[in-house]
Amino acid sequence: MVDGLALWKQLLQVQEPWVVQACRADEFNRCMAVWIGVEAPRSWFGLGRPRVVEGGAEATWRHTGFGGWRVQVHVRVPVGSELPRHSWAGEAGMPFTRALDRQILSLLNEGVGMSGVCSILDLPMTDLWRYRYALDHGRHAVGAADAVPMPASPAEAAVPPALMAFSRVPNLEDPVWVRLLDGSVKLDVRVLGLQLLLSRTRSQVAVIADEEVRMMKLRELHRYFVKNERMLAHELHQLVSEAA
Amino acid sequence: MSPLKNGLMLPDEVARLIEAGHCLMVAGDEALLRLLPSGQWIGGTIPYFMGSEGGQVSRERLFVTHVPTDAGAPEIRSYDITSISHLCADAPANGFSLIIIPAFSATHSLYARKAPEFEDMFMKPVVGWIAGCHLDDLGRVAPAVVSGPELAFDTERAVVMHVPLPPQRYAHVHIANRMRQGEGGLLRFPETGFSAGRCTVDGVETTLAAYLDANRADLRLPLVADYGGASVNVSIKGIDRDAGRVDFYAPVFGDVAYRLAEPVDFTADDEPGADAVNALWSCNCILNYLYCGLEGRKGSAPGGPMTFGEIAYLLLNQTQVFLEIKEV
Repeated sequence: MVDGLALWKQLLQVQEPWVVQACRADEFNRCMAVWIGVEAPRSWFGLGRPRVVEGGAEATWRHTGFGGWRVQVHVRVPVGSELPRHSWAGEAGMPFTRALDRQILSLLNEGVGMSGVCSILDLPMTDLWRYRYALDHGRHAVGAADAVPMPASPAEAAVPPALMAFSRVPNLEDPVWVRLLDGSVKLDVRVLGLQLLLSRTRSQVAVIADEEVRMMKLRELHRYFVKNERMLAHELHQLVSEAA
Repeated sequence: MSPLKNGLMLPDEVARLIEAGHCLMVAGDEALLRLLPSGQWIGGTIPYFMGSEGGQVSRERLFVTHVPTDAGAPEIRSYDITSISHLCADAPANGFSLIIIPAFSATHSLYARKAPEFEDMFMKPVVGWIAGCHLDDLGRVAPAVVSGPELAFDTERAVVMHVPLPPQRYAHVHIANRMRQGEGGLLRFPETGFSAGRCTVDGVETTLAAYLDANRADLRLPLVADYGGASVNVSIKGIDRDAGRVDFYAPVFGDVAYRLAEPVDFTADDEPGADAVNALWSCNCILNYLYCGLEGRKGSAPGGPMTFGEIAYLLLNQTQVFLEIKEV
């Protein structure tokens, strides 16, 4: 069972303070039920107060399937806490997790009909109608919290378009970004946020082999420069002189 | 930037500011915070301050910082361990977030270890401090934070004020840290945590306790990590020799290298930089207050609470944190 909990923690990407507390397989219906709750961090140098995490109401959502198995996620939210915004959880009153939500929406956007969506994702029509009804009546916003950061992210939205037009930040395709990440371009950095971000990102990239993940880190760094260009004159001057 | 004066005030003065609609961050003794009316403010417990007359412990005055509202009213929210990871994602696109976390709470522990992984961390400015208590009350009194609109005192959740700024201004976070990495061995730890047993020193397995004892280390000196030029301290709480364990006031990270700080003169005066003088807000560390003997001594402008931990994105120790609002 411990192995099962660890596996589901990894598959669902459940992170502290959330833990997978139980999982149960229904072989007949090929359905896996997973329970997620909160575990309070351990006390700190003897002064931490014992903390009982009181479980409140349990919310249940259908999640994306694995290996032909349906997955039902049950989340025990502590009293006074808000519903988790992770991809393995959904909105209050909605039938699906955010991860499944995005799959459904992308199929609908591709023109797949309701019965087609149900067939492809093995969903009950009643749940899909409930979801569709909420969408059509503006009662459900899709995946905002877990959306993959796109170039026009909220952080970048702070930069007035007029300033963006005169941006000195090298394009994302410029090789200088890869060299900045691998440390072959060394900048004298005076801004604390960039010092911390660059140091952390470099140590991560040093052990990341996957090219897509490295690109994600690179985009994150580029986004930082775009968003904070106003305070990076000293650093940008050096970066631009290194750029192609 | 703020035309209003920040500093130590009597509760009556602070109450009048709140009732007049000012937006404030308030630090002080819990009994004084309980005298304040509801309004646009957040607060945390601590009786140690750097004021205009120098370092002092006070149960009569509160340290008040005026928060700018020229881009709209700040949003005040509370975060627990299930939601604190969304702190930066919830922050305004242009602005900053002020956070106060009760010491020894689960939120304190989680923030200290996990903040680097929070969505949008480092993208948006976050500063704040860890609420504490009088050192005589350690273990008896729970540090607390306050959400002013509801006058809600909380010993577990963090309180945050998300402050938007107009497009022509931006928030700049910087730190003053007299500690630098020393010449000693490079320390690495097998995992992130508030205590350490095993470690490597220049690649050789040992225990941190043995290393500190062998080097007759001054335990007032922290371990220091170099984050691309920024020195980040992890202060040592003590050595449990029976358990072979060293405890810290902030976590060491498993993917970060440290060295013991080079010796400093704890009695030397700080030389505040121009940035420090212009800061909207600042806080300093209770360990600096104790080790540097700051009671009655003037420290760097602009003053502020002496706290159980400082936050400049990450949880810091023995560091002064500044927030400055700059014009484009």
